[in-house]
Amino acid sequence: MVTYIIRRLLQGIVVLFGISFVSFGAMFLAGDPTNLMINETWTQDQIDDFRHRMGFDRPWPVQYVDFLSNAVRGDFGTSIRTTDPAFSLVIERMPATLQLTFASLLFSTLGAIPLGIISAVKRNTLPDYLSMSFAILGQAVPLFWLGILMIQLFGLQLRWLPISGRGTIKHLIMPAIALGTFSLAANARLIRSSLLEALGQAYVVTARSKGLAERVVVIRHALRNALIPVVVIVGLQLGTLLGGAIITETIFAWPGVGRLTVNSIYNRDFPVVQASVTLLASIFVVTNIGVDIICAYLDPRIRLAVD
Amino acid sequence: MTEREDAQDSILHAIQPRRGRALLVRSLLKSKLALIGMVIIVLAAATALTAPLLAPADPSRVAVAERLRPPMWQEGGTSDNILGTDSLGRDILSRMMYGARVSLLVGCVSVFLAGLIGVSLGLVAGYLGGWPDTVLMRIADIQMAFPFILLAITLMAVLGSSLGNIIITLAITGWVSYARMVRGQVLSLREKEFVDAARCVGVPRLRIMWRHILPNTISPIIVLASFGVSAAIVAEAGLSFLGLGVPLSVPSWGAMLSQAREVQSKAWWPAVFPGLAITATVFGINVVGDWLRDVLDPHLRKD
Repeated sequence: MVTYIIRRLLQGIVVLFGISFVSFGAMFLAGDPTNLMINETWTQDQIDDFRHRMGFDRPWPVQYVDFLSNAVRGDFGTSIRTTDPAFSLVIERMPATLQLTFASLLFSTLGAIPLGIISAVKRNTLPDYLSMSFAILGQAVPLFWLGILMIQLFGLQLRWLPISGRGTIKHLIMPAIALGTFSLAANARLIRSSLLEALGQAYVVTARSKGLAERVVVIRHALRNALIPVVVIVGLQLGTLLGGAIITETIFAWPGVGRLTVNSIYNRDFPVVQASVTLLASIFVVTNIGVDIICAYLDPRIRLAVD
Repeated sequence: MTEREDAQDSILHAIQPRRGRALLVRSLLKSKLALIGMVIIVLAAATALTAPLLAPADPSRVAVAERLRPPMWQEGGTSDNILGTDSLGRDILSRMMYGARVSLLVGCVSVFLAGLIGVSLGLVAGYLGGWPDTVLMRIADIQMAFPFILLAITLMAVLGSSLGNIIITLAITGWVSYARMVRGQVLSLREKEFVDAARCVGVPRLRIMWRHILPNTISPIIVLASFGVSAAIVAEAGLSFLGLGVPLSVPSWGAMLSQAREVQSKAWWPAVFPGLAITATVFGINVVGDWLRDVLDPHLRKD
């Protein structure tokens, strides 16, 4: 187990280096990054001065080493627009994004478990068809449209929920549902098929023939094993959710990192974009390492295969 | 092709399993959901192809006097604008028909490119092993560390919005899953007897990969690609929604939704119909993808 954890952490460090390189390198895809940030009205002198001030006139390996050594100390330069440190701009908004992401993770997981169980246990009956139709539909609805529809119905027509901003729990409901529905649908289908497979195993037959109640067989015996692949997927979904949060935050004017990133892109404020891209990707990597370790703990086959 | 190569191939093909096409058609007719999906896909493709002929109006014609006309069945609607007009008086139905071209073009071309890159790299990495394999898998790991939309947004921000750039962006962000999947398949296939047989009769490496390994990975590639198309359509719409996709002058479903938000309190129709188009198309592709997975890949079928 320790070997496995160390190995996974080392891999994680390699990936973090890669992330820093991509965040850094993305700016150079279109040539001189100065061109991405300048205003059309600037004179050549102003442009040259800006290029020198940002350090873009140095060779790129030097710039990368500089970027990396500053980044590990939490310094991503200052925002071009507000002159605040880019890192603290991102960190300030991180709690809002994490709150939204975890709320939708909770919504999608807790919603998917009953749906998945019902349709597996009542296979090929009306409840199964209903929940799977809901799941197939949920995977097809783009979150930004779902958000717009909810704003229309619950915000503008019925006036039940606020349509923008953050504050009360009421503000969180629509964004979390919009963001979590796709994952809920995907999880429900996964739980269904995973549980169906588990229900066909010999240990379930054993449990049944011992005379255990069906509820105990399903929840204690089958579901426990059926949830292992779900844990893996939920970890991966965090990436989808963090990405989706960018769009959700824009729709609901949620004051998080996603909205900051999009606004910084509109303002061509690339230090802030770099800082948020790096941080969001790092959060994703770290959580995935955590998920892998949890899975290895839950399922001895995983850690034994690696050791 | 020399006579000897021909003979090699015909011997080896006789040993490889082949699937029947008639079986596919019969199974499609049996699955109602997949049939509905297929009809939606055909409709969407037909609309995209014939948009210039069938669209009732010029999708870019601005008519401020006709702005925010409701759909024809509502009070104030006219049969000139069946689904109403947007905030600039442009015909929503026509814009949606032209939008289908963007969505399907971006979906198909970007998945084709992503598949081409991913499958070739996965094939080579899996067959050769060693350092090419290690390098490729580390690159894949790093790319997987980025939430897909985040990477796409960053790339679009740097490259600038255009139809070509969005296709490139989605190809770059999409190749990894094909590479990983093909690599995994190749790792097990290269130990199979028919590959050994090909090696023994002296078939060159590239030819083994192309003629003997690749055909055996085709089914999962098709399945992955079908879900890839729907994911790319949603991604394009999402990026266009954020203003980072196709230029504003091009009618696209995502951009229509983003413009509709500004007038949402006054009119519901500009925000509803384009979203319905995205959802229906994605639904159609997904259910066909599900069906393809069940038919082509019995191992993956869980129930």
